[in-house]
Amino acid sequence: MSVHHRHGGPSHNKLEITFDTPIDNWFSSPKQIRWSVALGKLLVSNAVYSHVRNSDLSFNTKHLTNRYTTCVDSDTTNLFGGVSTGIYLYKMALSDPINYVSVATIGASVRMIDASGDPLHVYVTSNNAADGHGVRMVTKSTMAVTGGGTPVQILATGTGDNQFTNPLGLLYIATNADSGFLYVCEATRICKIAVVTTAGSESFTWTTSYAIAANDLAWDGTNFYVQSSTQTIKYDNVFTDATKVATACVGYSITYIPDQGDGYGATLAIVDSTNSHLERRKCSDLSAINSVGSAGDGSSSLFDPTFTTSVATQIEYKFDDGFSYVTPSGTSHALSWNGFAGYSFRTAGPHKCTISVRGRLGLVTGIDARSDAITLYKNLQKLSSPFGLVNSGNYKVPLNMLSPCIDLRGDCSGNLSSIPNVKYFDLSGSDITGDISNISRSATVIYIITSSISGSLSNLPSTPIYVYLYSSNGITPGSIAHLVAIRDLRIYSMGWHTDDVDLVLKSISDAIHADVNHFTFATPALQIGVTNQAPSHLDGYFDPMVVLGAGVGDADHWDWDAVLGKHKAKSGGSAIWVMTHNVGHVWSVTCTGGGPYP
Amino acid sequence: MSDAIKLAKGLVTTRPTVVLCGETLLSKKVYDQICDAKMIEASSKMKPTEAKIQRAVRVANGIVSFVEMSKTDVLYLPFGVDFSQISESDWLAKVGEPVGEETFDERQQAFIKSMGWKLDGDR
Repeated sequence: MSVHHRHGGPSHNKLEITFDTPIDNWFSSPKQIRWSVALGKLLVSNAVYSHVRNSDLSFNTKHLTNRYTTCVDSDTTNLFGGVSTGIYLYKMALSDPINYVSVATIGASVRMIDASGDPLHVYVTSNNAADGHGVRMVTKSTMAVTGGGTPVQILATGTGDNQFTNPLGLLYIATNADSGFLYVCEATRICKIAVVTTAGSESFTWTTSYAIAANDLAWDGTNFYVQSSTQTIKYDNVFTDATKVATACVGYSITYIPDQGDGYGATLAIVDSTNSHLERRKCSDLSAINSVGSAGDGSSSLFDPTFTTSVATQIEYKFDDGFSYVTPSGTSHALSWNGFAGYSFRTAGPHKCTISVRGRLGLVTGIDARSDAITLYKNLQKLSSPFGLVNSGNYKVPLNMLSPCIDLRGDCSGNLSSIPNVKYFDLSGSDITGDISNISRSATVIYIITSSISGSLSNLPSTPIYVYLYSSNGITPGSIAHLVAIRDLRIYSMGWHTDDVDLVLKSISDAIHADVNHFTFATPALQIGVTNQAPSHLDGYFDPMVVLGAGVGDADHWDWDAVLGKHKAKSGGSAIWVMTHNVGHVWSVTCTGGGPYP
Repeated sequence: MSDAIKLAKGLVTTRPTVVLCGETLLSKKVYDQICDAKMIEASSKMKPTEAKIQRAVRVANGIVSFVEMSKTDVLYLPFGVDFSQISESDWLAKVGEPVGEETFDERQQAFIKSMGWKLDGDR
């Protein structure tokens, strides 16, 4: 017998979620930016996973290892990068930027690198007074540090010729197959070193320095572009003629982007580490084109729904780009990808994730997708066990898919009658419809803030302990005496008149009058103010036994109940007095006052 | 005829044992427990807000809840209950800024716990 699925869609034993992950424009201490000719993309080192960005600065991916947090560059086949607290330079294949191939021990904190100019070597600046503010040369094939001295470095530490102090950005420009010049940026100068790159015969000769404050520099074949902490400056090829200056341009690193055919000609991309953003400028006149980015770790751009199951099991997340992840056995399940409890994509969405559960889908008892831009669930109705859902975003889950749900929080659409089992409601938005009488009779928490449901308060189930229905102008006043376990009732901003407010207040005070233990909670609270009118006769808020005496009522506030031998409130104000003086089960009441108001 | 005292900013009480600090009203017990010069100073500097709804924190018999009030609302206090209502700015000042990786929610939870209070519900 063969087994096959009858439908082309997802298996009925799997939950399929479609979503649009937001574009990740968050940066945390971005440092170096370099154009990768091989990728045709920008590489941006970042404290929480480096980015690959398109030439227009838009997000491409952060499917990279976490070993590029301070510097990153590439050549035709490999990526290179270093971490802020580490002393290593890592090499990864462009085809597998997650797992490193080999590593060089630099021996000092890595700052920036140049891997694109010299096919044989990577040049590295470092900042560590203990072992020299050095510049290192690393042979790509062996990842061995080349050069003389102790520690091994190019030239020595110091401020004079043949010395480096606190070098940052650097750029190797080849003049022929075996030699070229290395430009190194320092706080007050740019150093120029002649380099011979022949394997086994490498050498470095100090050429000159230019008194220009520089964090980093770029080269377009004719002009240098120097980035300082405050300016971008376009120089000729010997740093004598500053033809263009872009002021108020904060930058830490700069790179050259060849003409992309987008009308801007050749451009520059600049990292502003201080303010966590990138900027793109024209090479021609240094005018700004666009900027992108703000501070953050980017975790909000991840797709990271978590699941709970009724028994210990494993679930598998399988994504439409081929990535899959199986959770360890347990009852709480979250993604794990490349150091994140979530997943991001190389391309913009929509994307799909198929969830399968070892055992059966019905073992799922909870889905928390509160920060995920979900656009569609398929097979949600197959979760046969009672389950909870936390959802937020553009997609409002149809309530008719949630009939087994007992705990519902987030954005949904549809009629309350579709969810007969929910005990915990936390819904808002105009897409929820229905009558109060449709609310599950076993609900204990009701937070439904929408103007599109209707019905009388008296049709609430008797079970809730929390009821928030404020700002729901389709709801009409009624007795709430049946809410015997109520702890917190918020029905403000309903647009009710004084008689409406009195109706609610008197339903409570009458119930207390008949039985002081009618409401069971020690300190219930009622909020019935804001746009609701004030209760009637707030001047009736007094102790009638003291003011009027036994057997005596008055016109506006109190009747004398001869049977029970106590006064009975007949105005809103006197009802509040009953509620706030019912020792043992004493209410606090917030209502619209009689003015004048502060 | 009324034994209610309209104090200010919409707060009404029947008891002289409460301490009013700006828009914050503290029971004597809570005042003694948490109030200090810094908190009163913060309150005295508060300016009336144009916001229609102001948030505040209520503590009734040690149970904490977050509430909203408008400037036209009055609060009738529960008789015989240790009850305080703390303005949002005073609450934020009292809880303090998160430190390091700590979130405000975590800091708030810790503050509530340190006071021996409990947060009502889970919202």
